[in-house]
Amino acid sequence: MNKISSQPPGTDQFDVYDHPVLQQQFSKPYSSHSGSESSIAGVAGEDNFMSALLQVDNIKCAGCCGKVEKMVNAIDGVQNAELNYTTHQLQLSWDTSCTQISSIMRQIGTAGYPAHPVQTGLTSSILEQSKKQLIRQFGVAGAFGMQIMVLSVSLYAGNWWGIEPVYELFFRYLSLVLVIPVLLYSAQPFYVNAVNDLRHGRIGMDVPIALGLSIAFCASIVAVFNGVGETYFDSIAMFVLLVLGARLVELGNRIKATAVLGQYDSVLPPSAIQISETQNHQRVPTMILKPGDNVFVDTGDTVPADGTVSEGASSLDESLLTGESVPVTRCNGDRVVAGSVNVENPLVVTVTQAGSGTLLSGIAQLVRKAQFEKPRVSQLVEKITSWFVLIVLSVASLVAISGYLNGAEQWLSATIAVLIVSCPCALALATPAATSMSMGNALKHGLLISNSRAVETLNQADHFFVDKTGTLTTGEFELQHINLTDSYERERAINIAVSLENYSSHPIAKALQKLEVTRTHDAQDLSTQAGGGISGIIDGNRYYLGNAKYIQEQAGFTLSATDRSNGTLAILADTTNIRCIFSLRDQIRPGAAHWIKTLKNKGASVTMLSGDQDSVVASVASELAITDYASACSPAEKMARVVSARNQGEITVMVGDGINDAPVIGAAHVSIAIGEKVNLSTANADIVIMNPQTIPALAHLLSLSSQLTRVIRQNLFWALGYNAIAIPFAAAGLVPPWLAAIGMSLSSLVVVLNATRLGQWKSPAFEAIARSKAHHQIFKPANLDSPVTEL
Amino acid sequence: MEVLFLLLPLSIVLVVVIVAVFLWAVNHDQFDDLEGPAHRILMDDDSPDSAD
Repeated sequence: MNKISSQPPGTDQFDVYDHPVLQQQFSKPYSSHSGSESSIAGVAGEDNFMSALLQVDNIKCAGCCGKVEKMVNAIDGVQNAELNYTTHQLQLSWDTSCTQISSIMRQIGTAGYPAHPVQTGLTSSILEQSKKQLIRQFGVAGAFGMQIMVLSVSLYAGNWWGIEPVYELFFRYLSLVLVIPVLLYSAQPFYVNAVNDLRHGRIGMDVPIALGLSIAFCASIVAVFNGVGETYFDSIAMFVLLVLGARLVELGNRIKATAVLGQYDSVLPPSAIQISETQNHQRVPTMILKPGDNVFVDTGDTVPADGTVSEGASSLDESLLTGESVPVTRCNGDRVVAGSVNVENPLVVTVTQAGSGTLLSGIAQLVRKAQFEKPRVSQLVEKITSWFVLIVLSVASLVAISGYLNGAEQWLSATIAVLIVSCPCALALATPAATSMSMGNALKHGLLISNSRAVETLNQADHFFVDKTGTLTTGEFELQHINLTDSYERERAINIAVSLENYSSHPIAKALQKLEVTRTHDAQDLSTQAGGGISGIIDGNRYYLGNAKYIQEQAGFTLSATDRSNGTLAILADTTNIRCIFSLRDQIRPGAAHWIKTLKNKGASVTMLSGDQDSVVASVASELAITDYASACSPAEKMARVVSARNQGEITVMVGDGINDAPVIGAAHVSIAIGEKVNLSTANADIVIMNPQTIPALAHLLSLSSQLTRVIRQNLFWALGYNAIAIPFAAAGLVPPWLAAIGMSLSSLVVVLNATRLGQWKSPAFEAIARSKAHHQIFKPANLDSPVTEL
Repeated sequence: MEVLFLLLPLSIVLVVVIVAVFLWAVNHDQFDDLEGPAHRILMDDDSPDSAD
């Protein structure tokens, strides 16, 4: 962005990042106490902690990752630093009273890893540049390598059928000339990284590569000038070409993954049209928008901040946030979110949240956080990789020394083969490549994963606890009957009920709020009981509105058997009697029955937990073929059930709507929240489903999880198996260097390509349900007012 | 076969030209989007006005 280029004169490239305005763009206050309390903004600012995301260049192996992390963590004032291998991004938090971001960046840079803060579009442009450089190096290696291969084939043929010595010598000299640009230009990254590693006393993936190339080149030069011995020019060229090829594919994958994440950064327009109090339209930077501002969003523009529509009505494409591509209608008073695109009419929006407070920004932060939590397997693999390189180096020197002492003819080529054939890259890439591709896939389907370990665990889950309202059912109630007792006035009952529920966001409250009222009362002393009901004082009388259990406990009235109709009931009572019974109906989500069946076929048990009364829960359960269900559960009872299953050694998954179920969700191994109404910053869930097609998305999540586990297993098996077989053969002198070059690059290519499959993975379940759901929607009339009949 | 002494160096010159052309292509963003152009040619632009 052009804002960065306005660099004050006389400061170096790092000092400028200390400038508060610039720093505001990429870092934010960070609470040192605990992650869960970071929502208290005031506290966070006081302890001078800031956090930021840095893109670190030159990282080529999991080993470097650990080294950079360790180094940054050792800097005085740095609180925490975590580096993601797949994206090469460093999540950093530091104490501004001890150190400055410029000095941290300078130290990382001098260690050989230039770092830049991540913000709008910068990550992708840096990646694009390294991709270009890699393509250049790859192309040069390919062009010269082809010529070398032509000459080598002639030389091999000459060895077989005989060749005049003058031509042999000529061919060898030409190969030598041709290999020089390959080594000097194309192989540069290996040498740069190896030298950087060695200078800092560590051993990375590129050390054996650089060593192998150097030994092969030196041995070949000696052979050319002495006129005897083997030359390895063809192996050098092919090896460089193939490894660069594998890295090109891996970089391509990473660019794709970053693009999925980056869509949250680059989506907001840099400027917005602000409407001043005098109704003047002026273009201002999006950055300075604050709650209360009115902004004008023209057709085709992106909404710059979260807010409510204050003028106009239009359709908005919210696909970025929900994965649902059908635009939604938003009119006066409706909530709009930053990042959605206005596709129909111009709107005026009153900003409620801007900048980092928006839902979009919350999503972006959650996604990033998830990227930094390394899966368990990946942490283990990182350790193994650095040991692995050490072992390869020792095997190579053993082969060289023992071969030389025993006078074995092949010692040199065997040593080169060991150095080249071993492939720590495949090992290092096995899990991160797969995880990042699957997260990209999930995002495309409107699944927000804030904890990548959860996806791993999900595949082993054997007990699913599913909330009924809002999860298996749409959570949108329709009023069916109003049943008045004791000739209570209908109008009065409605007025009181609506006044009580006026500020509640519970689905039942929402259904009641739609009722027409003649007069709203001011309810005082409101108290709610989660999963029960609400009570308050109106005109000096206390009223209770809730389910049967709540009314019985609080007001002391029991429903007669005839009143317990099939449906969800909201009962209004005062201190003397039950006054009115609202019966409501909740719709089962399309595909829910099929999904439950799939879970059972997989051998998992399913328990439905609900705060609703028994008759409603039982009818939903029988429709979905769920045998294990619990009705009239309070959140505490739900939690007790999850905890007891957990204690029995079961891997538990809780799927809930994230409002009433927040504590329950935390109790399970894997927590999934339905994101329609969830506040992202308080939802404690590992996975949030933003897709309005909840059940297909859930089905997709499950199959994605099992696919991820499969791919990681395949990758690790391949990487370990390949090395275990290849290294002994190479050490025995049975693998010529050219074959080693092919084997090594192919094995890392296999791992990366295998992971790529996850990005495109489409679960048959999702496709099937999504199709039938789409069908449903077309024929379902939208927003019919629910008929209310009086008994 | 003495002609080889002429032809092979010539082939090297040719490779250098190929590499030069390739580097020119990379530097002029010819490799930035390898998938887009293939799709773009299939997309009919019915309303020339909206092309910008």
